[in-house]
Amino acid sequence: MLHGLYTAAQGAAARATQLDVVANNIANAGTDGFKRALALFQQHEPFDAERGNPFPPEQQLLGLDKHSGGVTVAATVTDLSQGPLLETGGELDVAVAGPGFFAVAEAGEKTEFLTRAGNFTLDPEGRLLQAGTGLEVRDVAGNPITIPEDASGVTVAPDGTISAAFPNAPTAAIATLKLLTPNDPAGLRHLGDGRYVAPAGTTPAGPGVSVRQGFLEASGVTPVTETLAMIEAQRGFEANVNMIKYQEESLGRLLSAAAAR
Amino acid sequence: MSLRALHTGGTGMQAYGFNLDVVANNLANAGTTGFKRSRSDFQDLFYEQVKPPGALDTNGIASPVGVEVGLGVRVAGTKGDFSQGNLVETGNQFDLAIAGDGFFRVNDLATGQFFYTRSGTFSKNAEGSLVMSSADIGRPLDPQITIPEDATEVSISGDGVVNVFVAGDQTPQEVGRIQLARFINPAGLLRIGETLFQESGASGVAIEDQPGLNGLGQIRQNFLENSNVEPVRELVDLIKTQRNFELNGQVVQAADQSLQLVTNLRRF
Repeated sequence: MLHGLYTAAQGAAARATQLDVVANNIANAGTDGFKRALALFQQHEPFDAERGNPFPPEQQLLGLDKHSGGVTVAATVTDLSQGPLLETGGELDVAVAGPGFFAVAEAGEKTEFLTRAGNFTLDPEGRLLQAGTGLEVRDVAGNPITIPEDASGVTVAPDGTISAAFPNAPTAAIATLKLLTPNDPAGLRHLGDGRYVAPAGTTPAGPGVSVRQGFLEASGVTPVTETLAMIEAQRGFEANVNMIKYQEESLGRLLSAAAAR
Repeated sequence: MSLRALHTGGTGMQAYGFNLDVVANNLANAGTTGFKRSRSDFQDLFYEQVKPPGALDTNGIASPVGVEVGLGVRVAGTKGDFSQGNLVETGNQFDLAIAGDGFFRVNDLATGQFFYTRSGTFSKNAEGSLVMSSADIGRPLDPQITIPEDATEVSISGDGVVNVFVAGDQTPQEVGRIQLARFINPAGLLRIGETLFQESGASGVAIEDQPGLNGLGQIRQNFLENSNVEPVRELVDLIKTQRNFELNGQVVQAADQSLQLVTNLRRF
């Protein structure tokens, strides 16, 4: 068996997945609140050609028959570092500074999703929604937020308190945005549409998390890093495919030499 | 396979190509009275869970992180930016601007529908009614304001009261009141061109009142509201959009070259 052929094919497949991850990062270079993902590679367990796996590495035979196991994509991790804050001037554009997330949910549903995309808007009843997904933005008590009809000049304080001016009345607080920090940031799952779920649960965000009205958090993708990753993935793929080719050629030469005898 | 990257790059090119259209329209209307800029909001598409986090490995240990690949980007929506534009003085007595929230309501006689606008370039039609100036069709202001034939001067107050002075009379006569309308969610209004907006299911119903009340802005006679397009912001957007488009083109190329390598792998 030509073990190297399969090792090279594994390498090519892993690099192709890396290219897919980079492609998604680059496609979302302009998506507000987007966090880039990173493919992590891992060497497979060494393969015992004589007896096969499974054997713990220390019990495997040494020598020429022992092949290294090739490579696989072990995980994709999300780079949750702060993205640049982009000034938009929008009254209902809110960015999170620090390791916190907004809580959004389907109308009437208990399940809350996490998001960093603070491009909010109102529905005809005055409820605060996330533009695009149409999900309700939740307050600290887990309830939807409604901006009264006669309110004007909505302001969002750094701690998430939403207040507005009312005719013939002083400015009053309406609600406070719910800000959450996931217990296990590395374990966050992407759902698309800028939403995440935290399988390990969440806790209310601490004082290190604040919000900024009139800003949006731009995508965390830096074109230079992604372009380098793209070149790396593509060339890594190419190198592996070349290895397949070389082995195929040597096999071909061997076969033709044997036939000539 | 890298076919995923090919399509992901494709979604990126499509989304940024679309954004280029939006920015182009904003820049084209940088001098349009009462124009409100729009902005595209992007969203990441669905994620393919190759290996979900928490999957058990051969030793029965749950992996702390999984493998997931996103499949690109889409335009989630275009959102109108209804921030105030600059007021410019024109000296024309039928030029009205709104300082603050609100829209003028005009009646489209051809369809009988009401439209909303912040472009206050009004003029008189043959009957003396105030109509929104357009070379194609005159849309009267609603409620209708008719200026008497013998009026020499028209004065419109901040709260919308229209007074006229007639020749030989020093006391002003009130001929009508301009009302303004506002919406809970102006970003949900439908744009129909000619700086007109139409009520939609997303905007909520129009809340009409006297200017200056109920959160509505004041009317300024002799002024017009400039487009709220800021050329610097749009140009930065334009650069970003074009570069993102190019970057995604590079991804498509990289995926294509990878595929080409594979197809060339086996030669006869």
